[in-house]
Amino acid sequence: MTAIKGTKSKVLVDEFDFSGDTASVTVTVGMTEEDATTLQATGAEYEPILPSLKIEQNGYLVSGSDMESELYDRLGVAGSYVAALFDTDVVGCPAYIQETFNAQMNIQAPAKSLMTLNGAWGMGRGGHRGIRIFDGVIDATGAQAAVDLGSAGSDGGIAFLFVQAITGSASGAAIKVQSSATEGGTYADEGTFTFSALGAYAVALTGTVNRWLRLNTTGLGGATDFTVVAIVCVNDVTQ
Amino acid sequence: MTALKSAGNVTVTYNSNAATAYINSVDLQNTVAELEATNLSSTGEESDAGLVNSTLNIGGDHNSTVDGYFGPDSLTGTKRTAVIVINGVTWTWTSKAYITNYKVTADAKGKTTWSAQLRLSGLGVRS
Repeated sequence: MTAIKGTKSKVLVDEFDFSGDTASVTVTVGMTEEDATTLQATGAEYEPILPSLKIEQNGYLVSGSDMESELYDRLGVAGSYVAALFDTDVVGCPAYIQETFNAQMNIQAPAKSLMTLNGAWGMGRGGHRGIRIFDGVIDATGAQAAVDLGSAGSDGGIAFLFVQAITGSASGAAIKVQSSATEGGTYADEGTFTFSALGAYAVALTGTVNRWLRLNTTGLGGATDFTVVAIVCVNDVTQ
Repeated sequence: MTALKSAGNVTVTYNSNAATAYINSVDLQNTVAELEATNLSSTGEESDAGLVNSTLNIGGDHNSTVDGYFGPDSLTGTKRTAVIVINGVTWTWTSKAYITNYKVTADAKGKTTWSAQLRLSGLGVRS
């Protein structure tokens, strides 16, 4: 198996892609547990309780970059969507996302080296794991290429849209997440993102989510184009 | 007597997924709790055996495939079957293995790596 270079990763914070400022990113998923050993047990037994997700990023202070100011604005402030993506050459690469706040921001400036900016995001309101289904520019209404999840889910999930750039202005732009049992089949609407500004957005998915997923733009809201990254998390499949 | 190399002599299967090719280290720990048994007539500290407590630490080079094996369960605590074969000896925890810590690290100057700690609940079957 060929090792995947660390450069095939991304860090997204709301509308910002901080990959160019980041030297390393670590995702840690934890699970608390409790002893559940009973009489007659032949070995110590445990039960899992609650998961937690943490994303840590270490990087540099880069000339012209917004990262330092944006991390400061989010220091202790809830409501940011942070995503770490790995193996990004793969179309449906894995992604870990959390709604959270910036919990740590350390700046170091050694005289004989580069200035570094290291930080960690709090556990916030839980974490999600999904796959990326789109990363690029949308300049017309219509459907994008579908991505195969591998299997369908029956218990909903959640989708995230990181709107990174808008050419012109968008008022009520709308992008649907759709799914189908087969790549060329009939696609059902699973959720709709509606936006008028840069930022990250989430939409809940309910019931069955089939294995083939795609974005379908129904309205540009007056914009010429926008740059987005879409990640879909399906219960009992990706998370 | 020749010490055995690890490569080729260890396999790991998790939830029916053959994970061996994605793992470069295995650490299977079976620790017996020691129950304090020192009494007033003891001439040295004494202990009795309690229950065995088992964990599995694994890790290797990361990619989408191995993330698909361990990533989803890391957020749910779902119990799966883990089978570890070491030099022909099989250790099995049937529907008793769950992930307590899963970590993925990407370093711009290196490769993306992963590690996981699994709780192996109860006494495994060694055959």
